[in-house]
Amino acid sequence: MRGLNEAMQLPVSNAGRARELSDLIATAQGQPAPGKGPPIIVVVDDSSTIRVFFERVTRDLDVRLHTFASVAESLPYLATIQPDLLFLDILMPDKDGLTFLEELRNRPDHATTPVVVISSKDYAQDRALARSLGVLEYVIKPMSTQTIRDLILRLLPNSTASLPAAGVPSAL
Amino acid sequence: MSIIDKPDPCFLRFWGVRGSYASPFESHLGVGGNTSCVELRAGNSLLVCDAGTGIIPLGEHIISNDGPRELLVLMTHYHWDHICGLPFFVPAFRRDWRVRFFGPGRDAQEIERSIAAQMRAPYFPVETENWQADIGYVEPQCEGLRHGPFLIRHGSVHHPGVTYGYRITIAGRTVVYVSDNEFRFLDRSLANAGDLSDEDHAIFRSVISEERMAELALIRDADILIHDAQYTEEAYITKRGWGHSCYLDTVDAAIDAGVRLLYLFHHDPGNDDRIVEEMLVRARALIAERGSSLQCEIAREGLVVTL
Ligand SMILES: [Zn+2]
Ligand SMILES: [Zn+2]
Repeated sequence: MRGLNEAMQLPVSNAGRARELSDLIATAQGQPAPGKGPPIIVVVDDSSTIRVFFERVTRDLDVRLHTFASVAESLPYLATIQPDLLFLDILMPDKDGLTFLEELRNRPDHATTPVVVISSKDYAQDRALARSLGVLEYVIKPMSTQTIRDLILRLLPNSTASLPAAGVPSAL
Repeated sequence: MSIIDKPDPCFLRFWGVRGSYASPFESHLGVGGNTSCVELRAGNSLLVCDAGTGIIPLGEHIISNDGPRELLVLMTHYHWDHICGLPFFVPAFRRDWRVRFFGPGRDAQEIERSIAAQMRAPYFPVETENWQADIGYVEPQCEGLRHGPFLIRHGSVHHPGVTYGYRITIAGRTVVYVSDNEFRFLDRSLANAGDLSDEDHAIFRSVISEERMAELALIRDADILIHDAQYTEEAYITKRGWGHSCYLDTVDAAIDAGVRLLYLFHHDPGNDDRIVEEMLVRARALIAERGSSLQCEIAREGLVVTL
């Protein structure tokens, strides 16, 4: 089985795609990242299912989601944008996620980028390495939709804007 | 390079086949007691996979024979069983030798730090700064490494910390070396995950098939696969999550990936010769049951395989 089965196929909103595209164009044109827009979430994971999973989790959150299938694919984007939250897989074909994170941490623009590791690797040594690289959370696959949603809401409180009123903590 | 251009001699030799720690016990010597080290030779080019205690007799052997005075050591990772022979690796202490190292790390300096650490005070009396050979650490390159006729690519594998497996092409043949790797990890995590919705379960069944494709990609169509086969089925029940495979999972993966010849490697020090021989019998039974043409052997210390 490759990708989600038919019943699980999830529509990706055209509006979301258009917004992503305009962001990417703005980035390509060298315009500064819109500082006051919704928070930016980046996912780097070679699993296409995980990337769709994130589209689904963030569908009704007020965030801008950018997903990449490899470290190499994510590099041009991360060279200009500091996401509000970066979800990073470890075992990827082109580069180990923890090695990549170490490289990012050595760049001034990503020294403090908030990172959450998502991996099937459930070993104390990886958790310790991730901790030493300032990772906020280490999430082991399989994780529930709710876990990731709660994590985003906790780490990005501003992302709740487009939730139904009942889901938003009362203002003031 | 075509097979016609095959350098002579072209072989691999197992100098250390044990995992975790050396086991020089009489009951184990049929298979071998030294930890991970495999030599690959193509004419005058010498490539060494890992520097467990097996690299000590390898070092003694190559300094006392006519042959190359230059080698590249590929480190899968820096756990003790893969580095502990290095302080006693004689060529590194000889002026007329040239030794290069490659392994996990974001750059050459980090590779050097990982290798040098075990020889710092108070752990060892001589530091790597005292090595007399021309020593170098190879900068990671995304297009792969070349060492003489060897073309080397690496991929990360499922083992604690950053750990590489190597896919080595020589004279049109592919040798894959994956000393430490736990197959089918996510399958079992999902089976044990009680609190997921049906929808989340469906998502992760799909992720499992993607991870399976990824783990098979590194070993796909290998002529020779040298792979972690540390645990018996019984041992794996309590040792899941230690970063090593049950040997039957290794056999299954080799069949699924179209491997031609599999060497069961990184034997558990708790497995004596009799147990390892039994594992081979059961591995071959599984291969027959699956109707596969995979050949399976035990990686034994001293065994030479023509490439
Ligand atoms: Zn090992
Ligand atoms: Zn190890």
